[in-house]
Parts: sequence; structure tokens; C-alpha cells
Amino acid sequence: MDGEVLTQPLFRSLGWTWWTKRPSYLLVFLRESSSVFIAVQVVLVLVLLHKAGQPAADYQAYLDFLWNPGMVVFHVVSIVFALWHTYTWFNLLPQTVAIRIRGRRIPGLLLVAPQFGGWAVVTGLIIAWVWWVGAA
Amino acid sequence: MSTAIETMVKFEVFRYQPDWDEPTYQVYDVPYHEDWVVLDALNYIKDTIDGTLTYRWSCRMGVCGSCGAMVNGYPKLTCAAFLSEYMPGPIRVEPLVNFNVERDLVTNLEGFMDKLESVQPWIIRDDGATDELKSEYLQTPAQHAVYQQFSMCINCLLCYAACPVSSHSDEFIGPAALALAQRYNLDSRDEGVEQRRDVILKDEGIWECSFVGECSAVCPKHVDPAGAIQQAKMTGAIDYYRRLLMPWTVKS
Amino acid sequence: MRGRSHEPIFWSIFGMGGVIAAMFIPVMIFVTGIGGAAGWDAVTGALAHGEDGIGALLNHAPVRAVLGLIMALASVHAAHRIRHTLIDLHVHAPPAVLIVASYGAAAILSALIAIVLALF
Repeated sequence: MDGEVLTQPLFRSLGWTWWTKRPSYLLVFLRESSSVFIAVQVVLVLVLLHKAGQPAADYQAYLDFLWNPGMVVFHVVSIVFALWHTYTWFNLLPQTVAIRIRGRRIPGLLLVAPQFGGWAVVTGLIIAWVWWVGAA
Repeated sequence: MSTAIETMVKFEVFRYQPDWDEPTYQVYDVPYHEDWVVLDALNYIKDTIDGTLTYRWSCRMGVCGSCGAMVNGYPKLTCAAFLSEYMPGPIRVEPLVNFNVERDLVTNLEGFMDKLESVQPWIIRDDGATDELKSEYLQTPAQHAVYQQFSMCINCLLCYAACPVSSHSDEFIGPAALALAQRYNLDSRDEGVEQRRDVILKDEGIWECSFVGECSAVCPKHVDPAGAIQQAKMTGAIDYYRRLLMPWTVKS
Repeated sequence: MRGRSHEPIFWSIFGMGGVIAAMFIPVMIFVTGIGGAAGWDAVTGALAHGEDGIGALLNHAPVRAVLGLIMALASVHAAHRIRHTLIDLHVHAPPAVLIVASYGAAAILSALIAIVLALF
């Protein structure tokens, strides 16, 4: 009672479990988690490229592994995460760059829509190219 | 019987005093009024049930920024949190997280005040005229529009309570202060970019931000601190490479 | 420059990698992981071993270089995000340790990509 502070300050943190506390946090956490799936898929493709230079039996064994049902489930989960990364990344651009024309910020859609358009064209062209090569 | 039975709402209010070992939640029954906000309920509790409850408030209309608290885990201005949104209750009121608690719902703002001051959120002129107006500095509506959104901050600190980075780093300058730094850096009348650079461009400035974006979601004034920080990162990265690759273009 | 952050280096590569990953990683996963498993002959053929298969798909050096760049940028992008996510999960590690571990792993992965594609 002599004016001294008797206890340590009470610090209350949002805590490391913040991502469980609201759907919006969870969606961001899933966005960040996409990086793990992207990294693993890069490794899988790296091994695929490596195996392509090996004898046919080794290469086929790796393809069998890559395409077994359990791995396909993983690929589907990975592609969902990768698409979530794509969707969130494109949508965050208007917050990151503020482009003004005659003093007014241009609508976010003008920044977001071309990205999705470009994505559709790139994805379509690559699939068409693979199809063309594979059918040849 | 013609007596109307009042609907009651259960409030679970965080209680703590510096000489207590542990905080506790105290339960109060408050009559429900459709037009009441959480702050009205806190005032009702203090006036009629328990005068020892401590909390900050002033304007009751979303301008002063002093009544922020966690309402059912979500940072809100208690003057803007209508009871009807939380019915039938209970409604849990806690101090904003990521701050030290002084007493009950009152947090210690000293750390934030230091951070705010560190970004020098005022107009800086090369001629040193910071506190007295030597001449008029005219500004067009378009120049004003560039920073207007970031100038709406009322320092209510809901953004810090929403920020996962602030939850682990008490050095992080944080959303509101960085948005205000950006507000002055973008002001056509300001010449203080150089003076703010070292504070903003260190790790604890903009670079610790991982763009969770919840600061912008909870902001009652639609300031978009997350956007301000990302834009500052873009400027900061360009500045970094310019200094690295073309040092002769940087004035010392 | 004293006390200033070198994070812009990581952040700018992270940003480039983010765009690249957003554009190319979904279709990469589709072609390598899903199309063939789903039994689409064209994809199986495109990835088949031999001169007309994956050879044709990656026969041109510029195509391999672009693929390598995409994969390397995506791995730095992923490393940056994993590092910041660990920090945001309150993992208490010295900043330098996290930097070396995350970008170091991405650098090693990038070097392996370069080696494998150079020997292709």
C-alpha cells in the first residue's frame, strides 16, 4: 500500500492459436499453409525430372508412386491449396498497390480481373500444349 | 398479470487489479434494451451494481477511440457493439488482447504511445517548421485523397488486438502507427520521409507484418492499415534496391 | 544502412515467387500429379519416357530454364511464408536461425533444380 507495483504486468496475448479463433484467421492460415504443399510439389516434380533421366523402369516406378491413389489424394489437396493461394494472391493486389487516375483510386476489380484472365489463358495454353505433345 | 418481465442478459466481465494474483470473470445480469450497446451495459453495471468496475470511455459515438474491448473474443468499440447482435448472450467483455492490463478493462497504452511518437506522425518540413506555420501549405483535393483514408484513425487500438504479429512481438510498431506513418509520408505538404525511414524500414517496422489483414477487418474507421503497410513495403523495397544499386541517386 | 532491414531482398523474391506460384503451380500439379493418374492418355503420353514423351515436353532448353525458374521462385516463396508462419505461431527461434534454415533450404532446392535440369 506504499504505491509500489506489487505484481508483474498482466500481458494477455492473442496467443499462438490465433488461427483457430475466427474463420477469417483460419482462411489466412490456410493461405499461408499453401506454401507447404507448394514446396512439396516442387520437390516431387524435381524428383520426376531427375527420374526422367534414369532407366525406364526406375522412371515408371516413380510414376507409379506419384499416381497411386494415396498420392492422388495428396495432389488433389495440394491443388486446392495452390488454387487458394492463387485466389487470395490475386485478390490482395489492390491493397498492395494504390493506382490513381485523376486522383481517384482505380476499382480493385480492374487489378484483379486481368490476373484471373491471365491465369486462365496461361493454364489453358499449358494444358493444350501438353495435350498436343502427348497426342503426337 | 400485466407486469412485463424484463429480458436479462448475462455479462461475464473480466476483472483484474494489480495486487491480484489471478484475473477472474464476474457475472452481472443486465436488463436487455434493444437500443443498448455494450458500453451502456457497462455503465449500467457501474452505476447500479458494482461501482468498482473500471473501464475507459468518453464520447459514446465512435470518435474518441477509448472504449475498445474484446466482446465475445472480437475487438470492438463497446459503444458500437449492440446487445441485439449478441442475444441471447452471455456476453463476455475482456480488455483488448496484446496489451498489458492495468485494471479490469483498462490496458496500458504507454508502449503504443512510444511507437506512435517514434513514427513522427505530424507534418515535418525541411525548413524545420514543425510547430509553427510559416506559410500556408496548399493542397488539392486529389493530393488530399491520396492519404485521406489513412488519416481517419482514432487510435482505438482494435487493430493491435487483432494482430497475430503484435501477439508475439512487443517491438512491432504495429498497424495504427504504421498507417499513420504512411499517412504523413503520402501527404504532399510533408517532407519527413527521410526522418521516418529508419523506424519504418527496420524489421520491427513494416517487415514483421505477415499480411494477415485482420487489422483492416476490425477497423471501425476503415483505415486499412494492412494496405498501408503493404504499400509501404513496396516503396521500401524499391528504396532498398535503389540504395543498393544506384547509391549516387540517394541524398545522404 | 545500419539497423536497416535486408528483408526487402526476401520480400521481393517472395513477391515474384507468389505471382509465379499463383500462375503456374496449379497447372503443374494437375499435369504431373492428377492428369496421368486419372488416366488421360494425352497426359500419360506427354509424360511417357522416351524421345516423344517427357523428352518432347522438355526438349527445348528455354522451356527447361523457365520451368526451373518457376520451381526455384516458388520454393523461395514457400520458404518465406513458412518462416513467417512459424514466427506467427510463436516459435521462439533466433531470427538468423530461421533465415538460414528457410532460405537455405530453398537455395539448396534451387541448386538441385539447376543441376538436374543442366544434366537433362
